[in-house]
This record gives sequence, structure tokens and C-alpha cells, in this order.
Amino acid sequence: MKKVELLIPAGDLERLKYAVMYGADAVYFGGINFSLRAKASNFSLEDIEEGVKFAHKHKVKVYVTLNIVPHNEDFEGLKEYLKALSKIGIDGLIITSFAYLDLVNKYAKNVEKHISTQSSVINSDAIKFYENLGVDRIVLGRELNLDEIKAIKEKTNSKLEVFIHGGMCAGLSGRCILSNYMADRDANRGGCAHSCRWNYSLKLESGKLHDFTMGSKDLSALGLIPKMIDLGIDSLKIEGRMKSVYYIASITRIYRALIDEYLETGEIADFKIYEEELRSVESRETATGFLEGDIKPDEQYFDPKLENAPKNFLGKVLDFDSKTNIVTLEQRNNFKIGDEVEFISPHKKAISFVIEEMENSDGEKIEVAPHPLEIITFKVSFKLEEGTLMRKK
Amino acid sequence: MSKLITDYTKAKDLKLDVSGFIINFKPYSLFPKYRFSLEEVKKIIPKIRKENKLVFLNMDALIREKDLENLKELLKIIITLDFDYLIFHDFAIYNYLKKKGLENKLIYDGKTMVTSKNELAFFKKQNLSVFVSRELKKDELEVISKLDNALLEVFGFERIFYSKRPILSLFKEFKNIDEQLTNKVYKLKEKDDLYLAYEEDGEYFVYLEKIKYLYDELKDLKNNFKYLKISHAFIEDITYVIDKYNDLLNDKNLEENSKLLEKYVNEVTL
Repeated sequence: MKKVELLIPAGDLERLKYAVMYGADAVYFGGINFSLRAKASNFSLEDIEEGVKFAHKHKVKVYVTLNIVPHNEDFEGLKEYLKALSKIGIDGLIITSFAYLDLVNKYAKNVEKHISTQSSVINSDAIKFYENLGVDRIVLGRELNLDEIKAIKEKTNSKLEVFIHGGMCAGLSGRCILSNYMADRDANRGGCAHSCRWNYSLKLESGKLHDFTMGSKDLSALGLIPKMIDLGIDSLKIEGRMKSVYYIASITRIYRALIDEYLETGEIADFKIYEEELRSVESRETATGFLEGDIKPDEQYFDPKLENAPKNFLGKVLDFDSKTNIVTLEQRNNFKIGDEVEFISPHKKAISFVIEEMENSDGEKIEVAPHPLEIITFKVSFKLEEGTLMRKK
Repeated sequence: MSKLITDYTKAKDLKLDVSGFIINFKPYSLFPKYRFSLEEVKKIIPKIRKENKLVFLNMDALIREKDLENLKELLKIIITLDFDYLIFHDFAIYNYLKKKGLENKLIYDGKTMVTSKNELAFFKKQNLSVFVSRELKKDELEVISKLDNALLEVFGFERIFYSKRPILSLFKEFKNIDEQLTNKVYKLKEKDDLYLAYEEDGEYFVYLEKIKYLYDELKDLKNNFKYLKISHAFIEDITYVIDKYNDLLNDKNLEENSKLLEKYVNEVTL
């Protein structure tokens, strides 16, 4: 069975490292300029260099987003930036603008060119146009079902990348300028205010007013991954450069395990295990979007439930002393003595544990760890590996 | 000098004082309400020619893979028609016409995607004229319009959201609403701001509630664009507006027209 790439977002260096440790085949992020997701902690050139070194050491590829729709002033410094990226040795650039593509062809020739989903490429003939411009990969628009993706795969030579998880635009990507008018933020230059998810009232002809929203539920293609691998899709992409370390690590871990199980055994013995894991991480309701066919009413966010950021992430293991089995942890959510917790890590199964005693950074015994980022230490009876996170059981 | 073009909606439009008409195809164009089948288009073209006007065919939708074969069948016939320009958004259309050696008839309508002079320069290398995005500021238009392949929509309701999801129909089903929600304009309210929601043939759009237009801003720029488009969308009679823009092109009554147009725009509500 053909190997498929698991492509994970990285909002900053820390998240990049967790994505790599937890099993990404490739990571993507934006630089400080020329990239969407303006609010993500985007990478400086020094960060990019460090990120590339770390990723390449683990045989993980690095793609940098260059996916804004640029205005006249957005070309300043681009040539130098591209030369620098090329020198650093990034593996690919994710591009929307044709003018940017032209410059990449000149100044970053050794770098793969990926067309962003912002371009909303949704048919094979459009892909052929991009192929003639020297493009290597297309991130397909999210308006395609699996039959259409299959047909595109059969008719084109480009590598195909498909979103499998995360937030989805309800409109065609790149063609939405709701935020420009509603929030004075340019959606195509990193300012998307998610205005499609806002609350509106819709006045019908009868005069009746309805609460209304246009947003779609988040995407989760978990149950479709085997079919997507069988179709020969080259890269399975997760959205979420703004998400937390815990989210990135957990989602990567889930999809890594699922993909590996399918590649090794040719089947998924029990999807429920993965679905339950996913529910513990995901704060919004999910759906499969267009992948399984026409959109149904329950795939829209018409009845928005309160979004609850899961509170089950308790802390990040900063250090583990293998001689004493002492864990040094950075707190992220409240926990106390007697709580049953679980350690997740890149290469081991989750380990359950009941906290019996712990100390703060002053060496004082404490009953509760209520302070975010507080450093806590306690002893466990097993070994932990680098990158371990602690969550509620 | 720039020339005025507008959408063809009905026979009465033929008397409008414009250089050409845009015929919006059904399917594959995003224009609301007045879109025409191939058979209808075949009948409209001679009427436009009789008035010695240019014929622009519009297919500015993005095309899903499942619709590609139908599109090609339609294009096979379209290229035999008597038209001057074909407006497109999806590069499947570009590819088809280029293979037939007809790329000089193509105009790219990139919607929100053409926002820099460099982007225009890219398309110039492909011998393509291009509609530039409507949200550009005057100083940006000044720079962009120095290239000679730009077209600009200068008047009309601005579309700010385009979805392949039939969101109003889905909402009707979700809420068990009796009323038919397609092919009608609905008001969307967000705090104190109003927008227009519209769905037709499975595609959903949001427009600004008020007409967006450029007039005073065009005094120095009016000759820099190949064509200036007056959108006919949701406006039944566009004669008054066309007259004002013809005056602009001829440097007539500019101050007075500016005030009259402002008044007109403020009075138009859907």
C-alpha cells in the first residue's frame, strides 16, 4: 500500500516540535509576512531555520505558507525572503498568487510549489493549467467528494493534498471577503474573523425573524482515511495553525496511529477507539463536509452549541529524571491530589496514574495545582519519554 | 478611452447606451436571476449584434470535477457562437479555449484574487485581460490601471461571499420552514448592519446591502481601464446609472451627477 503523508500545522516552534515528535510526516507554517493566519505565532527566519533542522533530523518535511492574496505593497522583501528560504532548505511553499508563483520559480527553484486551497482548485483541467506553470502539488478545494477526487487523481500528474480535519470555510476559499467589510480585516491577507460563524438574523418574506449562521461544522474525515489512502491521495492535511500544543500532539497521535494501523494491516479493527480519542480533544462538532456527497443540514452550524475548549489537558512534562522517576511538569489546567491522570507520549500507549503527592517549585507539598504555567514535581512508577503530556483520565 | 458594458437581462436593455452586453450563462455563471441557457443565448446574440454592440459571454463560476464533462460539451458549442469575449473564473475554461487558439477572447474574472499590479502583469504575459477586485482603494487602482489589461466593475451590489453549499435550502430543511427560500433576496442582520443573502441553483451568496460604486474616484482613472462594468444585478432599470457614467466618460455634469448618483444609491433598497 502506498505511503501517505500526514501533514500537520505548526503555529510556532514548540508546536512544530510536538507535531514532529508525535508522528507528522510533514509540517507547515507561515513566516512573519506573506502568510495567512496572521494571529498564529508565525516564524522568523531564525525560527524557520531551527524548525527545518529539527524536522529534517527526524526525516520530516517542512512547507512554508506564502498564501496571501497580495496587494502592491506585499511584494516588498519577497525576493530576499524566497532566497533565504531556499538556502535554509525548506521543502515546499504553499502559494495562492500567480505573481508569487512567478517569483518562486525564479528565486526558490529548488523548492516544491504547492497551490493553496485558497485557490479553490476543484477540477482536473484547472490542475493541468497549474501543472503547466511548474506546480508540483495541489491542495484541493474543500468542495469535492471522494468520487471527484478519484477522478482527478486518475487524470492528473500533480501530487494531491486533501484536508482531513479542522475548521472549514463555508464559502469558497479565497472568494470570501466577509471579514473585510464586517471586521475591517482582510480575509485574504490573514485577517479572517470567521464572520460566517457569527450570529445573524434572517428575515423571511412572512416577516418572521430567524437566528441564522452560515458557518459549517469542522471537518473530520477519520472514518474515510482508509478510502482516501486507497485513492492514492498523496497528503492528508490537518488544519489549525492557531491550535494548542495539546491539540496538535493529540490529533497527530490519533491520525498517525490510524494511518499506521491501516498501512500495516489493511484494515481498522475498531474506529471507536480513535473516535473517542478525538472527542476528548475536539471542542467543536464535526462533519465530513463534501467528502461523502451533498451537504446535509446537520453539517451546518445552524444550532451552535457552546464551544468548550476541553479542560483535560493538565500539563506538559518538561523533564523526567530516569534515575529518580521524578516528573517536572508545567501546569495547564487545575488538578489535585487523588486525581486520576493519563500520560500520552509519541511512541507509547497512554499510561494511567493517580497523583498521590506533589510539590511546587519551592519544594513545598501542595494539595492542588491551580496556577497556569506553575512548575510542579511528583514521582511516578514508570519511565516517560520526551514530549510527554499529562491529561485527565 | 474606457467603454461601458453591462449585463443583458431583457430585450429592453438593448437600447442602453453601452458598448457591449454581458450574457450570463445558466449554468456556470454567478449572476442572479437573469441567466440564459445555450438556446436562449443563441437567440440573444443576433439581437445584440443588430445594435452593433459587443458580446461578452459570462461563465464566472468555479467548476466541480463532476460538472467538467458537461462544461466541455457546452464549450464545444459556445466557441462556434458569434461572441467577442468570454469571461471566466475557472482555469478549466482557459485551458479549453487555449487549446482551440481562442485565448485572445478570454477575460479572467478573478473576483477577490486580483489585487496587485504584479498579478495583472502575470495575466498580461498570458495575453489575458482581467477584472480587478472591487475592494481595492483608489491609490491601488491608480497603480494597477497603468497596465492596459484591466477591467473594473464600477457600480453594483458587491458579492462578498460565494458558497457551493445551498445554505438557505439547508436552513429551510433544518428549521422546517414552509417558505421557498431560493431565488429571492433576503436581509441578513448582524448587529446594526444589513447584508443580502441569495441562493440560486444550489449556490449561496452574500452581498453588501447598499450598492457600491466609484464615480468621483474615476475622474482621473476613467480612461485607464479597457472596460468599466455597470452591474445589472438586482436592479431592474439601469438606464439612469448608465447615463451618469456616460457623462463621466464625456466629462459632463460631473459634480451634479455625483450628487444625483449618491442620492440614487441611497434610495435603492431591496
